[in-house]
Amino acid sequence: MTGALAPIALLLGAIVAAGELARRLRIIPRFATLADLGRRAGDILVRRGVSDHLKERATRILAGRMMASSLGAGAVLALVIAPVVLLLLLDGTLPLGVRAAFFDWQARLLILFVSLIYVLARWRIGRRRLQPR
Amino acid sequence: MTPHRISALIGAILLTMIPTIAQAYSGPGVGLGAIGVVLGIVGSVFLMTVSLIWYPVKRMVRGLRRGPAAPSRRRDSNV
Repeated sequence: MTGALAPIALLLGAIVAAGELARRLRIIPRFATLADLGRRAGDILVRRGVSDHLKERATRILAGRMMASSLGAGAVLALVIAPVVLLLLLDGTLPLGVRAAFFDWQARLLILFVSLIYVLARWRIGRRRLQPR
Repeated sequence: MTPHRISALIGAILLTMIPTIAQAYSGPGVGLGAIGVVLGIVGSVFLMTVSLIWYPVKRMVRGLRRGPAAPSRRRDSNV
């Protein structure tokens, strides 16, 4: 069917590591902050009854925050996808068969199902931990 | 269009016809994240441009329209 299971297991491990990194590094709140900053900047630019001097200062401050937030989110995104990218790069030097598994539709289907089960299980565990005792 | 641009365009079109796997796939999450980051950087550059160029130029144009007036004194300046 899919050849050896080792490449699939490696890919699954990398995907799980990426998911855990995404949870730990709180990537979604970072993008929410970025979107919020953009919304606030738009509000300030179209607001009436505010002096240009204040708008100038506010947009300057928001531009700095937005740049820092964007670069931070980009860095976190790069860190999150690093396990999968590193595995694919490693496969270029050592023939692990990961790329072949990555482009095999049956292997992909298996990875998809197992990843979905992992995500659902992880989500349930995360919710249970959040509930007050 | 210059000959250089025409040859670059033809080269780009020919490159898209090479039937090999690009191995440049990115999932929807990473793709949307990358688009968000790029939009954030572009937005911050735009905001910086607005704050550093637009408002000062606006202020200058307003000052020129008013004509040569006495140097403005700020009420809150304690210098």
